[in-house]
Amino acid sequence: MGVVESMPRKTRNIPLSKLLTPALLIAMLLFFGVQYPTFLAGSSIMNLLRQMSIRVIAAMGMSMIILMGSIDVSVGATLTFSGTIAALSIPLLGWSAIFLGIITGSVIGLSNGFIATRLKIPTFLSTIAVMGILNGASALILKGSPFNITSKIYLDITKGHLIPNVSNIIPISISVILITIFILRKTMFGRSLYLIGGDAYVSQYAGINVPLVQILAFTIHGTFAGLAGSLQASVLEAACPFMGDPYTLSVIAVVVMGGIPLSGGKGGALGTVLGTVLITILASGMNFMGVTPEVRDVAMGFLIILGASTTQDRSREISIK
Amino acid sequence: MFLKNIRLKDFVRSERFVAVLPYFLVFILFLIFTALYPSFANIRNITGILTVSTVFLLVAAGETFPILMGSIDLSIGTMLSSSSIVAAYLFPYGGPWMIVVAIVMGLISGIVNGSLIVALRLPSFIVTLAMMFAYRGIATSLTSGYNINIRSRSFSWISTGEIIPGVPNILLWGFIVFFIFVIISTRTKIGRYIYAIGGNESAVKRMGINVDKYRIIAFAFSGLLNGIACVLLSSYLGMAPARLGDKYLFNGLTAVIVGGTSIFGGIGGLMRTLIGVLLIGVFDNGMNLIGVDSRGQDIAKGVLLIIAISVTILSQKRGKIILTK
Repeated sequence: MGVVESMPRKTRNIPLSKLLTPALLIAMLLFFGVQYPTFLAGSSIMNLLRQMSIRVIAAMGMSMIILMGSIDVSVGATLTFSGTIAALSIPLLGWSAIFLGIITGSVIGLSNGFIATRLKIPTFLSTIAVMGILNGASALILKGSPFNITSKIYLDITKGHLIPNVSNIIPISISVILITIFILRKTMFGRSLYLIGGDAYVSQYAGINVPLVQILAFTIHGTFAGLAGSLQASVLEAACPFMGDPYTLSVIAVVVMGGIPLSGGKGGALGTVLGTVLITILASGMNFMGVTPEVRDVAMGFLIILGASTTQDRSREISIK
Repeated sequence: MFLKNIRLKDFVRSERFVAVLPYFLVFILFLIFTALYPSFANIRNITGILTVSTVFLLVAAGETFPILMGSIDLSIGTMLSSSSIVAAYLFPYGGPWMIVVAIVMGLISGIVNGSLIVALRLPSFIVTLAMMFAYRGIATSLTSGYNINIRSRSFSWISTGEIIPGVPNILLWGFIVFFIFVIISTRTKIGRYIYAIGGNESAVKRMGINVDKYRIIAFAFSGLLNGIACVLLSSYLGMAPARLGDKYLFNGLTAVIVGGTSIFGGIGGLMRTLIGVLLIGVFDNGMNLIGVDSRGQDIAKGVLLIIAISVTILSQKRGKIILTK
């Protein structure tokens, strides 16, 4: 890993792209704060944190994927499917159904990794197919209607208060963030993600088993997505078909706004956290304004384009595809 | 002696196999469904398959152009919805202006896609993924998710009338438009350049050809064909559909790739898309007849898409080290 350590230290001038997200964040806080005084009250900040949690958990895995230069469009469908499996197994397993949800996510991630590395399908295509499969499967299992969760103990996973006045979901998401930061900064696997994002072929010749790292990254991503899905079911008190759909676009937007270019190789988990704060404030601010979810999607779409075009590394690319 | 030289494994991974396979699959599917459900082979049912497939054919033909140059357009389908909703919103009773507005809307959507990709120098899949949600937002927010009914006999004549007795007009228009684009893709400079860019983009660039221009043109074709398809579809259904995007995206992509057009560009073409569309049309119709749930079909099609992509990729990249991202 000498390559990474011997990289020159960062110079003082901060590029424009790094200032974009904080500037937008401040602008948005000012705008919504002035427009709606209740927006920044203590209770609604707690609410904001709760809304952020699931998105940030899914975004942590997505950061790893995009750091490698891959992408996963099936993240929303993974959330839906694993949430569905978790919810349906509650009568059998009780609160430990959440582990089945997590394992389901890992298996989906593992197979995504296999499809990408063994069948050699670019991930933006294969995950579209997987999205169709998973959405179809969850709608089939649920027969198109929501499945309500009545188990109090499962709902307490997210809604209980181990720390007074703080919903459990917040410490869970913080620990996921810490795990990701540790993986990305302190492990060989984490550093390899950056190298693969920089140049996959060079890292292969440098002795990194690129397919293995990719499969591992997809598995970890799937695990986090499975966790997010199971928690989502607990928050909604039900498993519904397509419940993860809104997350597909917003999770990608979060990562891109957090400063990881789509080509990978730069950025990190903390940027993604900042991106999550931005997107969540935007989403809930638009809720305050009474904007419909579809219009919110339009805004997400433009944020993705904006974020991607500011972070894109144009120095090394030859052609756009 | 002769057979000894052809190893099955090599044949399965060869380019010729990819070109022939879809014809076999259509034939086999046809036999299977006829055996399971004898009235499948009725002339009425076959006309039905062709009618439904026409709209898919135009959408998939549009998608073929970006894929031929190695890009991808994920906003097909939602472009169709948004064009038809905007047109029907402005002219709720159908008529010639609605047709013009719908086609122009499609064309503009395509040009917007292409220009964004070229101007921002971003990968096409991310731009069109974002635009997919943008067009869906336009379609659903104008009518809060409802379809717009168009009650006009002359408008529905466009698709359901019969200039040639026994053949719905929609087939005729679909055939004419498709034929024009086949000519464009094989006989004109634009078509040749699109193939060339898909084959080796940097070489084409070094020859001094304006790659950006042709990329915008390819995406504009995709939008234009979506616009034309939306006129035929709204006339056929008697309404402007607000939420059909996902289905068309999925089927369109699958048809192009199952037909044998390479996702890396340069290989394939509209005639291959035609057989891919027929395959999907037969598959959908047969599955409906034997009573498979539409979600079950989604699952089957997802698996089919993965298999199709990996077959086309294996045929091309044999013997090379490839690392996919």
